[in-house]
Amino acid sequence: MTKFLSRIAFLLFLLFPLSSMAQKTGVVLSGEDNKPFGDVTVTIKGTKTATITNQSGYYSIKAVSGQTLVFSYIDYTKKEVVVGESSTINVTIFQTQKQLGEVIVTTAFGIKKSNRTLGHAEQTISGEAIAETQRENWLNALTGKVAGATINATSGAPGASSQVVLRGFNSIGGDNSALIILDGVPLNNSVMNQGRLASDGTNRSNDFTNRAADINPDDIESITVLKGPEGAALYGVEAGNGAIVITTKKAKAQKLKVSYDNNFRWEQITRFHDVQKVYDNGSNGLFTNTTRNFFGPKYADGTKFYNNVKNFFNVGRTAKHNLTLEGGSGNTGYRGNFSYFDQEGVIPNTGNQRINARFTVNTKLSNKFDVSATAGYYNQYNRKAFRGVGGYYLGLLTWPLDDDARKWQNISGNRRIISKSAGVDNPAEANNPYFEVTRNKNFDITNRFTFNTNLTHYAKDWLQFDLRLAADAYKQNGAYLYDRESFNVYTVGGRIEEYNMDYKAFNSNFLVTAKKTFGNFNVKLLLGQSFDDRTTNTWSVLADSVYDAARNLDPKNVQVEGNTSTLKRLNSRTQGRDTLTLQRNIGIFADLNIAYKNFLYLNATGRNDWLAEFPKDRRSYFYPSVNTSFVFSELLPKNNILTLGRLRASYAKTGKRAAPYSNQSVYTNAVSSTNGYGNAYGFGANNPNLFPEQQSTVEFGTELKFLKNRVTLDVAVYQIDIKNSIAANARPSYATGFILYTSNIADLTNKGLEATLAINWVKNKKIGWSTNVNFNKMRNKVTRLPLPEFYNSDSWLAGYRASLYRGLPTTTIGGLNYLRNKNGAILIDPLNGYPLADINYVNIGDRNPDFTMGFVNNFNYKNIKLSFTLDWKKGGDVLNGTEQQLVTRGLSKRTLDREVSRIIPGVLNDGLQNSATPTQNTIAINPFYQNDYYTDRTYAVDFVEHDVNWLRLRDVTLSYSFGKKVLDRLRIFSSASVFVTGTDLFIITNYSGVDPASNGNTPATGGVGGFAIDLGTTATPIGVNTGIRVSFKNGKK
Amino acid sequence: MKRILIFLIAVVALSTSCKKYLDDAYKNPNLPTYSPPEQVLQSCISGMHRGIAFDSRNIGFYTQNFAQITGINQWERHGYILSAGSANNGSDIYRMHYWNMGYNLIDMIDSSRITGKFDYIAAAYSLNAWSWVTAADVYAEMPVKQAFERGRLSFDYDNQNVAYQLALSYCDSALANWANAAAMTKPSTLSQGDLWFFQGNQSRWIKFVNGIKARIYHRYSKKSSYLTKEVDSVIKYTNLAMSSTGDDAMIQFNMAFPDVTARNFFGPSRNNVGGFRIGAFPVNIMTGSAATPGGVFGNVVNDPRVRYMMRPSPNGTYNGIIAGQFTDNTSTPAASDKRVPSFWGTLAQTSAPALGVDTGARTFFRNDSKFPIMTYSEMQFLSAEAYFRKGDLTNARTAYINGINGHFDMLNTHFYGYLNAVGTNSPTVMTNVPISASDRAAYLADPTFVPLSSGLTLKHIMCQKYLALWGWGFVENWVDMRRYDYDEINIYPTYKRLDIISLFPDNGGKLAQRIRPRYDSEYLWNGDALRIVGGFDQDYHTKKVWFSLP
Repeated sequence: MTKFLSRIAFLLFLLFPLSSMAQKTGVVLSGEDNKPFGDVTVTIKGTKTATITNQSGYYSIKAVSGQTLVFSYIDYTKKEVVVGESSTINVTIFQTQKQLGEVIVTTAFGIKKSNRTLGHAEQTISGEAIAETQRENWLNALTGKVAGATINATSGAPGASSQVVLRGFNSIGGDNSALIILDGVPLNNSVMNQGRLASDGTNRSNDFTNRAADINPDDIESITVLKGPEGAALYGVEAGNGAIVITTKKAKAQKLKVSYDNNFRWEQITRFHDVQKVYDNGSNGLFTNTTRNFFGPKYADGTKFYNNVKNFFNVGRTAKHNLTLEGGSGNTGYRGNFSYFDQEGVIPNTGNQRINARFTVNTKLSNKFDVSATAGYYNQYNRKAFRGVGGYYLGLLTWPLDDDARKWQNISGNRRIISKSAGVDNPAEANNPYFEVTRNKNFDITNRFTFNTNLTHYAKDWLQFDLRLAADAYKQNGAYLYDRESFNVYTVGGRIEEYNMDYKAFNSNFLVTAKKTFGNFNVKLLLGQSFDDRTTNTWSVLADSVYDAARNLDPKNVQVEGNTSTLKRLNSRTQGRDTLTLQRNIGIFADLNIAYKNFLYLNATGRNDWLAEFPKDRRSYFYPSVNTSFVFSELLPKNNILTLGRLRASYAKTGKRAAPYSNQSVYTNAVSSTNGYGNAYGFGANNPNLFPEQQSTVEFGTELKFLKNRVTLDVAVYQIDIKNSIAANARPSYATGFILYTSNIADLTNKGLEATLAINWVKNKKIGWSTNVNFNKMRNKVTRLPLPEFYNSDSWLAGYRASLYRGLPTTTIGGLNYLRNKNGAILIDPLNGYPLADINYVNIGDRNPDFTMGFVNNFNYKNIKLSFTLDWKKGGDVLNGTEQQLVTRGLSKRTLDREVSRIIPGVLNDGLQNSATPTQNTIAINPFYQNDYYTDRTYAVDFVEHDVNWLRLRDVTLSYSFGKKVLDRLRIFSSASVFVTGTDLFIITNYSGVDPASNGNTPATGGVGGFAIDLGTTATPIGVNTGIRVSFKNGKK
Repeated sequence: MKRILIFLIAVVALSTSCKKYLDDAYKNPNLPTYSPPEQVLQSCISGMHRGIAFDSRNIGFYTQNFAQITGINQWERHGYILSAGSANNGSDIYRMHYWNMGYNLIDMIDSSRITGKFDYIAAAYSLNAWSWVTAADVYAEMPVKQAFERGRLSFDYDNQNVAYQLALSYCDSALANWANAAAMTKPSTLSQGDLWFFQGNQSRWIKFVNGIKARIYHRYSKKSSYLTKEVDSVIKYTNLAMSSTGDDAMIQFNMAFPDVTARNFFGPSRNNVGGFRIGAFPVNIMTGSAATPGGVFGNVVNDPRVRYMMRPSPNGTYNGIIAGQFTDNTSTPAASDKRVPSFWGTLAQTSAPALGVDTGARTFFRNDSKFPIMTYSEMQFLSAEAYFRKGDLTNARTAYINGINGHFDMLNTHFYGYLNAVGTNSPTVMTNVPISASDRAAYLADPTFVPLSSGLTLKHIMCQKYLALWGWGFVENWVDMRRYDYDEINIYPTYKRLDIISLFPDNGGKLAQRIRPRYDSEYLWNGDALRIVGGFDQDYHTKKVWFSLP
């Protein structure tokens, strides 16, 4: 202690004689993009006094007039400035060799690197480009903008989840979403898994926002996509899906700057399913409305039809307000952002409300210490509608056209039922969609806090320490309630399930960086350590008999003693469940970068993880990577054509963790036929031998810049070999001892080619036009699978599911297909002339596209800016499950030829089917009278639409910035602009349904999941946004 | 140096605390990863009942224990069902064996070894042996050597005899551990685990294990070595098995438990056998030839047991349904009303009595009826058959009489409350009177039932055994019928062999010899191995099993 005090005294003593020195501050900008430049060394020439700019480019140093400040950074031309009287010295420094074309990117753990040194592919998008798309979920804004990124939005509903998959699906049962890094620490991007609830749900009928969507796009400075595991290798077992590295905005201004923007959005669904208007409710040609099948007689002439589907949807409305304050003084900068977002969805009674608040402060304690801290608060209230089978949309499509669905209440105010069973209303009739979205409730509320501190210590000019501590905690409460009249719960008097989820994560990382130059070699070594600690606890309660008729009609009834309603509620069935998950990981890692002169770069990383989910003796795993970048253009004579040319190569081994506890089998209460409950193993196997999935990646690439960076071409080819991918709950032989089995069983490969072409057509003071083309082609395959099929049971939506078969793509759809004889003729049931189906699920399609391309264009003319993104997908199959539903219900126009008698071409399954003379089918059927031809013999294989293409205008933004003259006249603004943005304005597709981009599951399901499985999903709405963006004048100096 | 030391201490301290930090997060906090054997044994014992009872609804048709009232079904036709929907008919024993027993027993043995609970090790081996024999009896070829191998996902099939050999070794392990258990110094808690089976009585467990051994050697009856080798083992182990009905292995039910799924599978609460009736063949064994033309023993009086075991038709006679000739219980012809009542005493075609009321149900069909797994009577019939095959007719006759007496005793002892001597259908009249000693004596004195040793035939032994096992010994009865090739002339007279038209079309005129292994397990997920043993052949279920072959 005394030592400490004496040091303080010494420092104070020092300050006095030095008081004649003045504090000089300023911001260093990079000449390439005019953006703040961190890590620049600022020294006073001829002394040892030095400092380093922070990530905002800001520095502070004590110097006297006449001294010279030297600004230096590797590969940049040193800049010397003589100190004058001014206390502010801002400089711009330029790259040494080319002066242009180099980009500094933020990589793993927030480490900034020059992209020319990297031996693996990455792509950086500015926060502005993300924000201007006005997407509620910023992940969706990445579509078309990043080669190799596939964005699978679950639906177009408010608060819908979305998944970003980089370079294909690498795990058959685990999470395939990219790791998201926010300011150097992993950000929870999970989607509530219904399997944790008392109802043990299947991740299909409900949806929950992916938590990365909590981040306000206006807080994002830039996003770097580390596409392959090799870029993210420092994250070891978490690196397997690549990473999306977000750098948030820090204070830039030195005096208070207030800016405000808003956005008002209108959205509407324009694409609907078209149903036949010829045949009425019924079956086998006879009218009945106890079914929602339309195999009845023809509608009478002059029947009035209602456009129930179109009537149902509203115009969605969104308002967003965003206020930012930033400023600073001396060594301290701060930035605060507050945003409010309120959306009413196109589906009645759905909506999403968000509040985001974030505050960042960064300060330089001395020229040896930088400190920053960020606190964020996020709140979301999401009101949703059930989707898929039993959801509002299929209910809407199957509502009789000659009835006005809007009248959903009867005179008592209860559900109007249109069919009778034995003379009384049939409560089992599918819900009226208006009833469904009015009386049934489904919502969740999330409150989230994040806190992040950074401490950087510049111990020596070659040695730096970084300590980062981050906490992320949220509570998500949600419930759904099925009204007592709802068709699925009327027998039990309504149902409610309520849940409460607590998530708490603590993350720390400590980095030591040393730099040294040995002759022509620049060496940088980073050593690091991290703790990741995540706790998720879910409580949920499910109860029936929450309502009953007597109570609903007269609330006073509840008070009556012995009243059945009270009794009923006392007898209500309740069940609860508490699921606690702890995930802990301790990692140590090293990153070695060696630069030889300015053209050859070698990087090697290694990480060892100790994972708590594995038993003691097998919890340590090592993940190395190596990559190199060779800037061959440095060795060529200077020329005006090839500005920069480099080759890249990289190799990495990474992993993927197992779900916690999946290697320990658990006992469950078994209702035994003897003593009530005994204990017995559950269906699922323990697999004590489980270990993390292993991935090895090889990537080669090149980056070529032509004509002084006017044209940039970046190409990467890669192959990811996945060994021992974990199948969770696979179904093997019971001889394993279990019914479901979790084990490392599958090997996969993912190969692909990504290319980015960037062209600056025009760039001058008046006009600018640039184009970015992103191309992505992937091929994937299951190379080992010791089971006939592995499927994700959540994706088993109807007669199809996300299946994997040995030797076939990982994106295969398994489903029901026709049974055929050895010559391929369809086998016909000799009893009725109908085709027979194979009882096994077989390969019926591959969802992987041939390729995808994104076209991003930016134009500006004076103060007008226009930008748009086109998204082109070529090929890939889509399963049109909605159409299958429509066919089996007689609503599809495909069934209009039902009165035409037919003989299904094929041979009878009469024992002779595989002989030389099979019996040809001659049994005529007339579906009008035999509607089980549609209802029972409609197999998934007929609903796979092959080679589905689309061209979408994802977003288009036109903005206008007011000129100085206008601003001067308005006086209060230092800048102002207005914009109009359109989203999903058009789609051109050969898909017969309304939207080929949909997902039958949520990302929580794991594995490949239900993307490109379209069942009861509405089309993505088109949206128009408009708003203003202003900064207020601040007269103070 | 000092600094280095401090550094080293810090590293060691940090790494130990890290280790604990990770260990703390390892164990599943939501459900137990360990369960005491006292709890696990209960569910395994219950599994025996579930497996047999579930599949009795299929096997029981092959043996004509049961017939279906609503129409002929695939099982009466010696067929099978193999499709996604009702795919797993007849393969609940498969599930019981590999899953209910499976690792529950394997891990019970391991954990009890650590705690020195030899009684639980022994009980686990005992059940394991029983389970292997039972499953092999039903499915014949099945994965044995590779079964339960961790990490393995495809399993080669082994011959039926391989399973029997493994079961035999488990019997020996069981007996060795029962010996250890007897020497245990700490108090046994076995009565907690087997409260609803043997109530901690180890000597009854040992008799049960010897009974399993007797069953295994009995499976060699067609082999050339049988008369010189295994026949004596059958006699030896039946002698070491149950010595009276007091030793019978009976599963009991805890009626205090509120969940009806914990009750007897055959009771009205579970409502599983509403459309089932007794087959004509067991009725023929009991009723006189005057009442049932073509009766089994040619007797003129009824077996006294018939009044206790089943209910008469409205016309007062005892009738079963001839396989493939279902009757229509919905019409009520006044003159000769031979409608067959349900096991719960109702005449309606399929419905269960209201709210699971079981007062009209007899023997095995009450909600809390005990469920036999192995009886003294069965052991005596095994012995009788062995002596008969040896040519020792005197001992064969003694064992035969013991077997019949054992069955009378079982009914009188274990089903005392559910017997009814009154020939009426009224469910309310239950006299709860045991079969009288005089009735029994008269029966045993009747030479049509109990001939002199010179007149004793295999038909006597096998049909009496069939009757003594009726309603519970479905698997053992089916083993016997297959061993004797469903001989409806000499061994099982009046067993109805369906004609080739009525048999299931895949059979090619043959009768069922095995049940196909579980569809969800083998046909879908272990098809390559199953194909090798012919599992995908159309007539695989009619392929003779090891014990039926010479």
